[in-house]
Amino acid sequence: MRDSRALVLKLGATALAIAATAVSAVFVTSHLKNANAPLQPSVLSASDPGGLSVPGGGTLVLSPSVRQTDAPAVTSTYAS
Amino acid sequence: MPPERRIRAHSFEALGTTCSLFAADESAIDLSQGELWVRALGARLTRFEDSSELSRLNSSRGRWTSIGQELEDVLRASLRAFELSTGLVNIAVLPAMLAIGYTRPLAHGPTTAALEAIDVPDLPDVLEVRSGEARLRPGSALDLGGIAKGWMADRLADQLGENVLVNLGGDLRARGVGPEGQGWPVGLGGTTILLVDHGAATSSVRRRRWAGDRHHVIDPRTGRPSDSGLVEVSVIAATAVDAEVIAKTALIAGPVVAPAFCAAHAEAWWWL
Repeated sequence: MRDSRALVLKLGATALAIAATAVSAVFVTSHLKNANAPLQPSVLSASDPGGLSVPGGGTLVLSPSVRQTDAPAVTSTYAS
Repeated sequence: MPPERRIRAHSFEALGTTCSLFAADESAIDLSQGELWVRALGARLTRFEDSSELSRLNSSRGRWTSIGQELEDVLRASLRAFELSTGLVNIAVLPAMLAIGYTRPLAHGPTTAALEAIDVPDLPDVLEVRSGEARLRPGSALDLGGIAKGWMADRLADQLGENVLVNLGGDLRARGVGPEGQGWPVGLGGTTILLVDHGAATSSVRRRRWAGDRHHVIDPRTGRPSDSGLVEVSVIAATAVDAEVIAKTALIAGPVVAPAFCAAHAEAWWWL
């Protein structure tokens, strides 16, 4: 009686382990990493930042928080 | 449309460059007070005067040295700059600068270079800062460079008023909505940008050059003047000191890394 109970427990534990492995494998294969996922940081695609060529030469990139204007500049940033 | 405000302006020579202060706010303090502040603090933070606070620290030979609150703040900003730039902005480059001949203000002319390159130590390995004191490893020396200018522009803008623009040799800090309520119009890379509570800075190897290929922007990885393929980078960021650090990092990092670095840290940038 005791032997058969131990055998049942062993078989149950083995079956549970196999089932857990199988379920995990199914879950993982159905949730592959999506390279186009929208939460990727934008910096990863910044190698082509879409800059504007400016009259004086060089490339200018503006984020939406910064605006250009036709107004005359009060002063400039420059190397000193 | 908000009414156009009259701009008060004040320009002067200090920090080895031209400085300009602007106010569109009647409540702003007298701009000449700003000049006095810049001159006084510049004299404490320069490496070219033996009596300055920075020179005393540079010659302290490993002893804890008492420092003022402003130098302490600039040193802490420099440690953060080292971290943000992964070591590319490193104020411990002074021995390398001296080795290539930048021993005095370039208005007086460079001296002859004694050595070609010197290893630049990581700043956190040689500089310790605690409240009111700093310690520098013997043999190391600091040049605060653009970080001091950017930090001073940020602090001065806060002191002057609610609607002001500070330009210390190209390191700018705008505060408020400018003269017409839409931002302070500032030139950057051949175009004009409206700054609202932004900082801006330019880092370049086109100025402060001598002896052909020598210039003042040292690449800490080599101990030699930077040769990254970029010659000038201008940046707009949240503060002037941030803009300074981002611009210099991009300039030294070069054209492969700079776009992604600027995209991650800056609000606008121009490079050549």
